[in-house]
Amino acid sequence: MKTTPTEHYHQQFTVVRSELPGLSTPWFDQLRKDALNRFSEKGFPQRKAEDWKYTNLSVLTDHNYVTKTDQIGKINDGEINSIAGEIDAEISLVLINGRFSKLLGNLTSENFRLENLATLVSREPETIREYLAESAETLTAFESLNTAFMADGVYLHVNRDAKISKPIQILHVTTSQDDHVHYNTRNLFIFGENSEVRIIERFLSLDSIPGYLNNTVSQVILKDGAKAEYIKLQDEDPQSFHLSVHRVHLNRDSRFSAHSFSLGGLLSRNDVRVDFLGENASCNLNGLFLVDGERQADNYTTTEHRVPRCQSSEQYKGILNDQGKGVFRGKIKVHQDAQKSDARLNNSNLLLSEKAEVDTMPQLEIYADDVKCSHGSGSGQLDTEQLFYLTSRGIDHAVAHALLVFGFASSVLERIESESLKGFFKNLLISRLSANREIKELVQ
Amino acid sequence: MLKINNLKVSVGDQQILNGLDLKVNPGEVHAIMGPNGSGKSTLANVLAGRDNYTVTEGSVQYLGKDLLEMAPEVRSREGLFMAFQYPVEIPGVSNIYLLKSALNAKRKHQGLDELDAVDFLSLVKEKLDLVQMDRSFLNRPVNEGFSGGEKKRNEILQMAVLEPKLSILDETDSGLDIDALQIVTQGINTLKSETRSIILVTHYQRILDYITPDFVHVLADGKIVKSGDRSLAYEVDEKGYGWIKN
Repeated sequence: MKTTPTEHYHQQFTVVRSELPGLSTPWFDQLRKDALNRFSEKGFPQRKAEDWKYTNLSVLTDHNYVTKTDQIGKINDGEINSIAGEIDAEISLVLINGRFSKLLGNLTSENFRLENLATLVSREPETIREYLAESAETLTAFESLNTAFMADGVYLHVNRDAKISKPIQILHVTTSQDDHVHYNTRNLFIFGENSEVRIIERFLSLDSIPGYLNNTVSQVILKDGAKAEYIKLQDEDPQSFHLSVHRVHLNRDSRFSAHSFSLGGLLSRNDVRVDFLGENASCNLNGLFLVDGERQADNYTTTEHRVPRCQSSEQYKGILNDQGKGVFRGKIKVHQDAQKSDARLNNSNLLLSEKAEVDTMPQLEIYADDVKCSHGSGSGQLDTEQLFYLTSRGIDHAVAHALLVFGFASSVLERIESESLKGFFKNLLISRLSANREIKELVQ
Repeated sequence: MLKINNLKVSVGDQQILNGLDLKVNPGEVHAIMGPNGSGKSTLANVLAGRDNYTVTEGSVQYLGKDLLEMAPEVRSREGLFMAFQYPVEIPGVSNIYLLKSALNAKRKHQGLDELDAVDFLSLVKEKLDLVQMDRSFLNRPVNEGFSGGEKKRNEILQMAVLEPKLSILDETDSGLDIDALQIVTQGINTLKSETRSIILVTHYQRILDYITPDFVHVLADGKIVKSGDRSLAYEVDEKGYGWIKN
């Protein structure tokens, strides 16, 4: 008889527990066990659940994923350095197959502390106890599995008043291992009072690796007056799976600006949950997803306006080709006390083929009366008038097509505050367009 | 330059052009006037190669070649240019991308090297002055948020950069105030030469005060019903189109 998921993950836990960090810390070990039990109680979400209705869950639940405990496979160090070097970063932390590999760059800054989570858990677990304890009420089976099996990740604490102009880079590289391995990484980002920082987190695959699952959970805490720009790039193997949850806590006067680029993966899903905890904070969530073949990208966001005078604005765009599929569910909830909230939300999608499909659900729930809120969505094909206009100027049809696709995506790029990162993403996006050589020459 | 012979065009089930003949020689300026619905814009769009127009009969020779066989981009590279009546807005695609891409496509077609950034910018700057547009226009998305006058000036800027042999100006004067009309027509006049031809499609004779036509044609029900010199335009202006039809 086939092993049930519950049996499988309990067996896995018994096998790998001693290889995971924190065994000697009772509360940490208990945290894992509790999470595993919660997973057993709740099981995987059912497809009829509202949040999973449009996602093909079976690809995630039919396989019994395993945790690899042996050392990282063979890595070409030069290749890793050259990938990291694509970003002009203050410092880069590299994780390979879900485990810490190395740090590159300015290692002696007094402005922040950057460490891998496993080291911190074994040396001074109390530093992170309050943050991990806070997330005990996990919402999905995948978050429970993440807590039960987290092997490593990133701890970044930016000191109060610190201003770090170059981005801090976190590089997750996956390389050849067996099929159906899952990597459970956990990040903790804590931005001190009035600090200013920029983070870029990249998920990449080095070889073609069928069927692995990156299951990552990040907690992001902005203290009073902190300003953070956070960019996530998921550009993994087209056969891989990617699940990611971000829980963002915004305190008074803080400003969070996030940009998410979902370019790879057979199925990727981002859940971003933002809580406004202090007044006068603001949050911008931007995203771009690109799917082709039979790939799918899902983006779910929930913004909770719990306190007055906060501002949120959100724009996600999707470009869908072949039989690609996209899901966007953006939810804004304005609680009763959150007067003077200003919330805007928009999703627009470009369908480049007849068979591409997108489900878009902007949602507003408003319980306060003095607020400004708007939401909208639209999906359509390339505008034939625009195409004719460009070709009537002598521009090749394929180039005109690519220019319009680039033009559609460019508003997401324009929102990136860092000029150097904007340039990086512009080039990356162009490299994915059909007439990329011509377009690249044009927009330089 | 251009020879249209018995051109019949329909849109859907409706025939719009009913056997139109027109010959344009190098260096000539032809004005095509006519009331709404007479087929003026259809003629301009068919020449530029827009979809949705079906040529049911007749031929169009352009520089000795069959124009109707050419894709819109090829027509442009061969030196044909249409200034749109309603230039479309293209968010996210800046003017400079369009100009660079269009000019390089044409140069490539002619077997010339692409212009380098410096030469390109100095060329464009000169053309910007011609239509009194600020350099900042280059980095703005094509026509996005432009006023009516700015859109039309932008059309003339593209025309000036591409230096077409045959320009078709589709109601370029419509919606322009007198200052904008002066700038636009001045730009067009600068581009006139003995080897370049212009077809001005217009409802009113006003623009002909600024650009002197060699010939004026009146279009009604999809055919040219009267041709003459400039004085015909004044007559139309005075008496209306009903006079000719009857």
